Amino acid sequence: MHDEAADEQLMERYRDGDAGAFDVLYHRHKGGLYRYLLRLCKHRDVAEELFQDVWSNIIRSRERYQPSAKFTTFLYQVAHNRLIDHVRKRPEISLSLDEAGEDDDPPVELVAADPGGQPEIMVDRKRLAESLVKGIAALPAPQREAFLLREEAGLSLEEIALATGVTPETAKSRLRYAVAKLRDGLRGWGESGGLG
Amino acid sequence: MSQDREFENYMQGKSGLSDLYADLPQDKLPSHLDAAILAEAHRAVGARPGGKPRRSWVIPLSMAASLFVAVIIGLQLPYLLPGGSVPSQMRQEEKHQEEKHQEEKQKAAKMEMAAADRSAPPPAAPAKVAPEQKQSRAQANNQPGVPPAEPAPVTLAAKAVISLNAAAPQRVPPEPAPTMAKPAQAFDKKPMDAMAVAPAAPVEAPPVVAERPARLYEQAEPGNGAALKKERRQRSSAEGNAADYSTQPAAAAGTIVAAPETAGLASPQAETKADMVNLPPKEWLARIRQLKQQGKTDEGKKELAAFRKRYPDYSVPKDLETR
Repeated sequence: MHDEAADEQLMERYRDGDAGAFDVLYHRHKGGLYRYLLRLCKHRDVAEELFQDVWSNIIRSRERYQPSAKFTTFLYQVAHNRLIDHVRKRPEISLSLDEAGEDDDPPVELVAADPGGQPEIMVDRKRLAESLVKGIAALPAPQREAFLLREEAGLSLEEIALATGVTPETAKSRLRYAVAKLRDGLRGWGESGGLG
Repeated sequence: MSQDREFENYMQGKSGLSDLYADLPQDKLPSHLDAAILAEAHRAVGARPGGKPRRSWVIPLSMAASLFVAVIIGLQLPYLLPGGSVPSQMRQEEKHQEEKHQEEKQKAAKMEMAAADRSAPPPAAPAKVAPEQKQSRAQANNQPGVPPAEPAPVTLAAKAVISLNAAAPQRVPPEPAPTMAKPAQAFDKKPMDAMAVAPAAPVEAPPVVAERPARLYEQAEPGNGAALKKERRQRSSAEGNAADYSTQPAAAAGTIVAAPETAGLASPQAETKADMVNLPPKEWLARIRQLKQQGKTDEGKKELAAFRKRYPDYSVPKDLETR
């Protein structure tokens, strides 16, 4: 019964006391949220702590939930805010989420560890993926966040803007630069890896 | 390929970047986090993990039902308890009864005072009433249901009255106690039948005088509880006399008819009323119904009002309300 329901309906059911609805909701989004946090803050323990905090906030704020926006937007908005709070409390974990130096950042070098000038060597898809992970990690935090929100949560530009508290134009700019950098870094692999 | 076109392709899902990202190794979430979060979520809505969803109205409804049952039991408890623990409402009723008894005593005193006034000269009436009252009360206590036959120790009572009346000497004629005893004795020795046929003497005791014996009586009464209980027992036997009066109109009612100014105070209805106050609710209602059936609508209404005041939570039958 819960499996086909929309996120918003599940959250409303949970708000009304249906704990089973939360189970479905949680299992739908736990992986994406965890990866978003982990790849954004790069610290597993911090990501786990934030992950639990985000869901606790969702649980506590269930009474105030209004399905005016997508639940996913609501969830990642909470996650973004928790992350910002956490960074402010622990300056040693610098994510540079608020920095605005997209244009100044050098392009991500997602070159293979040792292509060795041997383009004929077929690079398997696994190594390409590892390079992508490294490229994502090398992105500036705002661009990285925009990319992760797009890939993990499937948010549109407007929803990314809403979740991160910026204008849609800013969100678009961040995502555009992120995609460009990642493609540029993978370009050498693209010809053999099918990224084109 | 320009960056704009690449971005458009990415947004439309035509780029291989999203596919490559989807193939990335999935980081596993620790299972203890799952358990902790789900437990917290279920705790928040009062459910166990894996359990059926609880209805939000079940708990308030059950609490309201429990409260209702508790209130009902609490209301019924005073009537279920043994006599040892008397609730405050019953104590109030008992107090109310005692007040009624006091009123009855005052009425009886007035009645006797009026009867004494009939056989005594008007100036001496106020001073004579109190000893007479005490005397008749003592007799009534000793022999319930029997009219006073023997004189009481009037001199002692008279002395007490004189001492208590010292506060208002101008209203009490300075008559010696022995002289006051004579009319009282004469009254007491007079048979009731003779009193019944005796002409109604137009003796009117002033209000102050009529009230004084009652006040004096109250002052002379001990205020402790034991004496009060004893007095109540004596009054109950005296009320038995009142019942006898109601059943023997020839002997008792004649006495009262002889003094018209006291008819409202010590009439058979008044005695009946005092008796009805002590009746159980059902019997009291039966008496009220009887009064109404006899055509005594006004008395019935008064009694009904008294009944409602006494038993505000008791449901009065509709036939009594409508009549």
